Amino acid sequence: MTIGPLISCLPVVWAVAIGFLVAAVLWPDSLNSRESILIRSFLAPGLGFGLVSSVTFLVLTFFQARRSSLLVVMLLLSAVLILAFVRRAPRATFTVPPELRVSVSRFGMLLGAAVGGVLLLDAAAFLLQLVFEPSGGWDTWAIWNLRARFLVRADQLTQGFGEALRWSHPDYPLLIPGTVAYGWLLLGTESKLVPMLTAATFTAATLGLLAASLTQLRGWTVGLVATAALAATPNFIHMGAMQQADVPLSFFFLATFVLLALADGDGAAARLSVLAGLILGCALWTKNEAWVFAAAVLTVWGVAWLVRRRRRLAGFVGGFVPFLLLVVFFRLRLGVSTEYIDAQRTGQAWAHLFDWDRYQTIGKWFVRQSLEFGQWKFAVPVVLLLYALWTGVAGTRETRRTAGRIAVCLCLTLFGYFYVYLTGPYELNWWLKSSLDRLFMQLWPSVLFCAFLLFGPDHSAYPAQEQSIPKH
Amino acid sequence: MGAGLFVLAVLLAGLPLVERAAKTAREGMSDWVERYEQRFIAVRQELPSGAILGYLSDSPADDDARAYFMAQYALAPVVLTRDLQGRQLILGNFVSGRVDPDLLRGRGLILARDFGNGVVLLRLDPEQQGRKSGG
Repeated sequence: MTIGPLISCLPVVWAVAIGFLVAAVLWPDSLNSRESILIRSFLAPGLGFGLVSSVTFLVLTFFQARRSSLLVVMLLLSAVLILAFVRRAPRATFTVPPELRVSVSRFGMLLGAAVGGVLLLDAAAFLLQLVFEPSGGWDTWAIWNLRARFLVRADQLTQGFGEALRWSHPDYPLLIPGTVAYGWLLLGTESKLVPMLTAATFTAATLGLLAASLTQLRGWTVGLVATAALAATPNFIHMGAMQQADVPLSFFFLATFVLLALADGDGAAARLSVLAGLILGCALWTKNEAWVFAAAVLTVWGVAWLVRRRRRLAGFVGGFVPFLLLVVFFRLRLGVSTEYIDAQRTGQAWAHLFDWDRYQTIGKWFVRQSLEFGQWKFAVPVVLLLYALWTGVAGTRETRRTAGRIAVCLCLTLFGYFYVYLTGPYELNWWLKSSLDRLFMQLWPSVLFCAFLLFGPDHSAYPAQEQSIPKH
Repeated sequence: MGAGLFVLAVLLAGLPLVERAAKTAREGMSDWVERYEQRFIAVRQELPSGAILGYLSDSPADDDARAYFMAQYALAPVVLTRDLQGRQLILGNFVSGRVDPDLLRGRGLILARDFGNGVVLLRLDPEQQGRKSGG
């Protein structure tokens, strides 16, 4: 069946709308500024795709009439969310006081134009790659879209997760294949536009979220500078257009930190931490690397919030648990196992721990890739370091505190990745060569967010949680 | 000042983005995944959804994994396995476009159906099986 491109967009638009409603329902009134609408809008794709992929997996697990059941569940979900959204209005609206509003100077306009130019270039490069490589990269067809095909085409859900397909990593969670399968099921055809649009939305949302959150927390200039650094990372745009899961995962890592940064404020509402937990759960539903990241984030914020912010911590864990349960259910229901975990049961992992050559090999790769993973002309992380030395530490006490926590999380995640390489079962050089640049890319937007919470010019930042909220 | 210099530096560092886009536009790669898949359309229509087939190919060693994964991608939800033990049907993916009779003989296989473009269905040769079980 052939359908027009506009109709092919509808499932993705519907998913994003659902995500927007979830973000709007959970967004606290104290942060309901016009400016925060941008943050919510850029969070929407991640939440939406997380929800529709989970719904699709559960429908395929429990219902026979798959397409009609999915449609009914989606309609019900939409109705419930619209109702919840309407019931929450009217709500207090936080207005940024005039003296704190961002005033855009001529320099700021110039900077904005330069960043806008790079974004246009990104869009052109992204489109070109989609046109000439519509099926995406190796992992796209060999793992993600292969799984989506099994979800849509197979009579039994278990068909695509058997031992014969172990090479295609049946243990990888289903956010990307589930989202693609959701689109294909609703459309009734396997339109290539669904994975393409999903990839484009994630890439754009990552750029947008970085810009909007830093503009809110640190001001217009810092938001633009950070966006320029991400937008001018050739490999970020390339990986996004290859339709693989690394840019989506980088989105969820960044979104977790953005929400935790907003929830870290002294007067912040606990609902923000629920949203942060949901987003962290979506990361776990996207790729297995998120286990390491989630352990790091839960440890750091667990320690930080355990004494004085127990309600927020409960909200954070509460938001995370549904997706954790979903991932556990997925693994048990389909009987999938992870090669890395299986290998830990052999003596090999223990032997690797005492193999000094492995430490050296991994260390060398880490240093080299940390400078090259973006495929820049020269190492932007070094430029970032020089820029940090130029500007010195800036921001408010709260943003500095949050940046410190994020930095610890990122270091713990890197240590975790190092440990996995150290004890893993694969040929080391091949493994590092084929994956390390992607792991660094997953963390890159978060590194930029952390760096620009700490450094950069101190303009009229308006961390909303610090302002008093006008009563209506 | 610092912000402007930083943005200028990252823009210069990001120049490979333009080079790559220009290369993509110049070379105009076509969708080789889809072209590869076309070879399997006919055989896919003949196979039941839950089938598990053996897989045999003449692809060179450095391209063998890609050929196998692509065939699996094209034929999902049929599952292809390299383990031919006990398989009633085997998919032959002869990327050279020509079925290699020596390869078939060596494996005790005969041609069941030829779908063209080097895509065939094979099955175990009953004579060889008989000899094996008899001997």
